[in-house]
Order: sequence, then C-alpha cells, then structure tokens
Amino acid sequence: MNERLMEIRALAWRWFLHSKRTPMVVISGLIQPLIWLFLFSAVFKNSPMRELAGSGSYLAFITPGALVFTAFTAALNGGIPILFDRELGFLDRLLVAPLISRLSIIWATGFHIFVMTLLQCLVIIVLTTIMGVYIKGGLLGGMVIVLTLALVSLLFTTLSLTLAFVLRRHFELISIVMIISLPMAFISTAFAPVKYMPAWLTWPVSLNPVTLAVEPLRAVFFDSGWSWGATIYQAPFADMSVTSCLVVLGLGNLLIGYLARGVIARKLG
Amino acid sequence: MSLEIKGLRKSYKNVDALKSLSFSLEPGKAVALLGPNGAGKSTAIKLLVTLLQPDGGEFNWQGQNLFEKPSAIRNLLGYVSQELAMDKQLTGTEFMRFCAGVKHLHWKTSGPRALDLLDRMGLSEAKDQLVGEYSGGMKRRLDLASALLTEPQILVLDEPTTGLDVEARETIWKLIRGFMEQGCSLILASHDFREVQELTDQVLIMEKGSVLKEGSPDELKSTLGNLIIRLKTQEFMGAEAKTSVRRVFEKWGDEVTWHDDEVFATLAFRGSDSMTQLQSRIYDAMSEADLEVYSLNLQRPDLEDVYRFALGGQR
Repeated sequence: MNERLMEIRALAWRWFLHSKRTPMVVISGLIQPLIWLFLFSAVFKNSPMRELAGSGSYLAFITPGALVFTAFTAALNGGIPILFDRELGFLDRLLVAPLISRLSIIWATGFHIFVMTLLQCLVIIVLTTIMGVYIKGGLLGGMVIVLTLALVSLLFTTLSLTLAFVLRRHFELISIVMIISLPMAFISTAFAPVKYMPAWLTWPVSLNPVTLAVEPLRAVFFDSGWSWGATIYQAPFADMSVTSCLVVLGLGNLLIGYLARGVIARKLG
Repeated sequence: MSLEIKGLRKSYKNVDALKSLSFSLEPGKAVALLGPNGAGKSTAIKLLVTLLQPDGGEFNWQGQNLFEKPSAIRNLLGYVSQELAMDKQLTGTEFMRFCAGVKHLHWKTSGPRALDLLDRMGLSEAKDQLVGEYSGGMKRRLDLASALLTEPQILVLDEPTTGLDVEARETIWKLIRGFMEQGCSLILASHDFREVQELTDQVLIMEKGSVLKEGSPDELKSTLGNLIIRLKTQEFMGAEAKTSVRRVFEKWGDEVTWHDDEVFATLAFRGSDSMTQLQSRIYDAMSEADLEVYSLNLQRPDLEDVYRFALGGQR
C-alpha cells in the first residue's frame, strides 16, 4: 500500500477506535437532530407549512434539514479532538512521525467525520422511512444526498480544523460551535421555506450553506421527476437548481480549502 | 556513522532560547543536556526532532545537513517527549499498531517486533489493556517501545523518567542501555544527575541557552578537584556566618574554590590531601579562627557538584 494511504489509514483508524470506545459521542450526535425531527414535526403538525412545502407532512419537510444538520454539527465539532491532541501534546507525536504529508492528519479526520456522518444519516433515513418519509428521487437521488452531505461535511470540517489550529484551547472552539450552530440552522430553509421569511432575511438564507444543501435534498426526497437544472428555490440573486446549489457548495469548499491550506500548512510546518 | 550538531540556535522574538549548541555523537554513545528549567534543553530537543525550525545550525549525518530535509531526520530518530502524551482510548497493542502505521510499517512485519518490544518492556500482560489504565511507569515504557519500533539510529529522550519511582527508572535505564549496546545513540535532556551519570558519555551543562561546561562525567568531576567540603558552623547559617568561614579559607589560596550555597559553606578542594588529612586541617583552621564546626562533610565530587558549581558561579 502507498505510504500516504498507510498513514491516513492509521490516523483514521485511531478515530474509529475512539468512536467505538465512546459510542455516546456518536449517539449524542444523533439525538439532537432526532429531537428536532420529532418535536418540531409534532409542534407544527397542523400548521399550513406542510402544504406549502409540498412534502406532505412537516416531518417529511424537515427530514432533509435534519440530515444536513447532522452532517453540519458533526463536521463543526470535528476540530475538537485535534485541539485536545494539541493541548495534550499528542499532536507533537504525529508531527515527529515521518509522515509523507502532515496534511494526512486532516484527511484522516475528515474521512472519519464523513463516515460517521453517513452512518448517523442512515439511521435518520431508516427511522423516517419507517414513519412514512420516502426518498422518491431514486438511486441518482440517493447519490445526490451522499454528495451533498459530503460537501457539507468537508466544508465545515475544514472550517473546524482550521479553527483548531488557530485557537489555543478547546473551549474556545466549543464556544464558536455553539455560537454558529443555531443561527446557521434557523437562518436557513431547514425549518421553513424561504417564502415564509421577511425580505431582509432572504439573502443570508439563500447564501447559507445549510440552505444550499437542504434544498437539493428536498428536491430528490420529494420529487420523483427531479432534474439537475430545474429551479428548486428562488434566491434573490438567481433561480437555484440542484446543480447550481452543488456548484456553489463545491466552490465554497474550494475557497475555504484554499484559505485553510495556508493556515494549516503554516501551523503544521 | 556519527552525528554532528553545529551551531544550533533559536530565538523567540527578542529572547535567545538557544544561543549555540554543538556536539558530535558516535553510534552507541550518549550525550546529555543538563540544566535547570529555561536552560534551553527542551528547545534544543524540539529543534533536533523537527518540532521547531532552527534560526541557524546544522544537523550533519552522512555528510548531509538534514535540517534541509526534516523528513530524513524523522526517519532517523525515535523520540520520547517529556509529556506523557498517550492515547488513553487505545490498548497497548493498538497504540503500537497506530505508531507502526504512521511510520509506514506493515503490521504483518512490524507486529512481531512491536510485541517483542512490549515483552521487553514488561508490558506483555497489559498489552490488551487500555493505556488509560496504565501506571505512569507503564506509559513511559510503552512510549519508549513505540519510539524503538522503527529501530532508530538515534533515540532522543526528553526527561524520560520524570515522575517515576526508583525501580521504574532503573528498569527504563537498563532497557535504554540494552538498545545502546546494539548501536543506538542517545540524546538525553534531563535534570536527573543519576540518570545522566548512568546513561551518558558526554555532558553539556546549559544555562540560559548557552553551554557552560562540557565533557565526560569523569572529566567534568576532575575539574572540581579532589574533594568537596560542606561545612556548617551552626544549624542555620546566615550570611555573616558564611563570610566568617570564607575568610578562613581565603588563606588557602588556589587550593579551594568557594561556591555560594544556601545551606552550607561549600568549597571544592584541589589539593592532594587525603580525606583524613583535610579533615584535620579544616578543624585546625576553624579552631584558629575561633569558629565551631557544627557539621563537616567531605566527599568526592559528583555530577551534581559540577552542575552546582557551574551554575552557581565560582568565587
């Protein structure tokens, strides 16, 4: 096996062992979206939102949001173990190892977060399917879900890992995660369609990566005839399709990846 | 193949953490960096293991300055840091497997060596136990085992026995000596005199980023002379009492070197007198000056004396 792959495998294996030894961390990552799913759907059961959203029920309407939120939260917390490694001196152990690239530390962490996110999302999909929420977009729709979650995961993992190298202590990162999480979830279409929101909010909502991920998921979840180019929501700047949402998310990843690479490379040497 | 470190230096803003460090090291030999906190030992170690970038200096190995190729240094070294930075959620075997992976060793081939190292470190029975359940000594031994996994040519240890009991320290020293006999060289940062005496052939005494003295432990001890005198005229000696004693020994000229010590009047004696002869001379001199001897200790100089005289200033 290629040496670069060997080191990424070893680094990721360590994180998977952590997940195996501390299942509560994985479970707690599931609990919040599940609470949101079931409590919100109960609270808004008789609201007119379900009809306007075109998904049949509020539970169905917020299921894509719960999936994106799961990926988003897991990714945003991804930097915390790295900060612990920094604080405890374990990162130094990795930095003196003859790694082909020190960025392998980042790739391995990102891979672990993505796999765990997929597993958590799979649990949510199974539970919501049992409750009557089906993915109507077929196999290709399923692939769009995986791709979208991957883009969200990568975007926020990169952000979190960059912060992990910039900040000094883990509680600083935890504070930032807490500050970012709620506004990101609520200033998005995860819980309500954009047309319900005041005009001033449509810009931040439309540019929010959570919206850019929720809307394509909603399209492939509820529209059996979905297509790549069809308008799925109207942003103040353009009519957005599955393709354009994914392209913007991809560009966001490239931009943050470019900025992060410089910071992380400088910190890792 | 010998290692040569030349003019290694590092500054942080306006502080010279390491002014200039040079030494050479033959296979199977050991060098110790000895000094108080802030002497520059840890900076030197971090530079040597590529955790910091030097402002200047060379790491010469096989005719090449490896500071230009840090990955080559990382392949050459095994490193045990001062902090017990272990992953408590892995078992001993898993930890070794993880270390093998990041060092590009296939577990199929490195596994037997890893298990053998665990065995030699006395960790066979605990190998499937979580590292979080290990004692401090076991963690140190596991750390050492992981550093030796790649069969490094140079082992860099930063205070490897800090916080361990005497038995655990002696076990680790014995293991390190065993690896040195197989040709592994050692760079040790420590302020444990016995550790330095037990393991190293060459000592560099450092303070504030500079090397104050260097040589083999025996050479350094011989610079102090024949005997060390520790004298008290009362249980707690104040400055005045020390000055009185000092005046007595000023008459002895170059035969003695005075050292400022908080507890005793301490002197290094260069003359050729035996212990008994010196003892009589001291009692006579003190009696002549009408000073009482509360306690008198004479002993051959040890590394701690060399260190104290080097750091405390010779008067």
